[in-house]
Amino acid sequence: MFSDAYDLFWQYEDTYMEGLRNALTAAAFGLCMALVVGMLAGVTRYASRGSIIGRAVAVYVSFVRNTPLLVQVYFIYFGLPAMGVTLSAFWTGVIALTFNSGAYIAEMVRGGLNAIPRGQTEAAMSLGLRQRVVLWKVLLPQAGPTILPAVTGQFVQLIKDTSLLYTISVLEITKAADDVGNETYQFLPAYMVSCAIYVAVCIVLNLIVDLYESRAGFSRHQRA
Amino acid sequence: MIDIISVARDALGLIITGLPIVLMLAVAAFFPALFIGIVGGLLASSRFRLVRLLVSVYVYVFRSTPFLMFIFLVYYGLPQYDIDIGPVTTAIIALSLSHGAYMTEIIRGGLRGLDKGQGEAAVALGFGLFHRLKDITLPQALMAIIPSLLGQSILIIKDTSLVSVVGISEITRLGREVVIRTNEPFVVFTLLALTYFVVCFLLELFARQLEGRARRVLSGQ
Repeated sequence: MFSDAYDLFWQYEDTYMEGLRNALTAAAFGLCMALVVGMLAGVTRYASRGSIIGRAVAVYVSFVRNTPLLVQVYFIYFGLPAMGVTLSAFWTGVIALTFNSGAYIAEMVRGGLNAIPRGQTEAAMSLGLRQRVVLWKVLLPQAGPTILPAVTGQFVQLIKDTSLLYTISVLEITKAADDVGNETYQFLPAYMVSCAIYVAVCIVLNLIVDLYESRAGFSRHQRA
Repeated sequence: MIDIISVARDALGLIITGLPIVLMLAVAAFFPALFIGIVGGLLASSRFRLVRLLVSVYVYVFRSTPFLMFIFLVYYGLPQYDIDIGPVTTAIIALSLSHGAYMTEIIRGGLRGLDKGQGEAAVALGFGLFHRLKDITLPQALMAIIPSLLGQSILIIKDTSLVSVVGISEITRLGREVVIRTNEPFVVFTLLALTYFVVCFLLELFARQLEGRARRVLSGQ
């Protein structure tokens, strides 16, 4: 069985590699855009509690966390064309991933900001810094190191979430296995190859994260 | 306008037929997953290195592969060994195995957070392994992690949306069929999302309430 999978991988290497490339690209674009969305949403929710925008962000976060990603993907996949926006399946998927991960990153940002002692804000305010400067120069640089491990965890989650792009027929790792299975009727080995690819990607990512976090330069902004 | 109302009625009907399937799957998967989690969590602190290694390999593999792919693996894998089960059983097995890995992590954390003296005192008082687990260690550990376990059950409910790929007609699949038929994605998917939202949000509220109660019990009031 394992040797079948091994043979299958080399036979259909192109399909699997294409799938891996698409999955990684989608996850990377998703993460970059989700970081922007999540930063803005998290900061908004931290800075303007109780205001309408703050509440809207809270609703967004709660909505994303309490509905399945598949429903969100369908929502966007069927919803965008109905609004007159036509994108390729790949970019629809990236938008869905952004929409989903943005909410989780917003929560991380908010948590990181909340964890900073109030004295920091008070000290900055009493030095006469404006609120925006306090946020960008004092609070966020300190929140960064505490948020970072969670954000990299989110990247692993994103890689796994790209599997849902299968449902809107983007060729990613799961779809690659499906295609190979349909062609050869060897579904189990085909999926085992994909499984191995996911595990390998996650191992590599975890190693990179460990390496990155152990770098000394990284703790420049760490609180004493 | 009337069109939208009729679509909404159509979708509501499907949600009413589909929601029990979702809840049934979630409940049917929660308990085996919890059992796997308890066994795994206990084995994770085993004396034998090989056992610990196996548990961490299990957890690592299942945490780094997406559930969607795993359900395909079970769906195509079991028939190879002449195990012929329906899609529902496949879904329940896949859900339990996958979430069992997360539960293992949660329960391992709970057991680790427990004061070491509790187990030692139980040993000193001559409790056997079974009684020690049943009456002393596990109740305290589980009490402390109830919120995480309920959080995991929310994830199980969300993951049931994926079992439609093996042909189970739960609400996501039914909703999609309505959309294809009526071409009203916003109405149907909004209703669908709201359904999940209500169920999960209620669970979240329940988890918060239980958390408060568990904290009171643990602090000995």
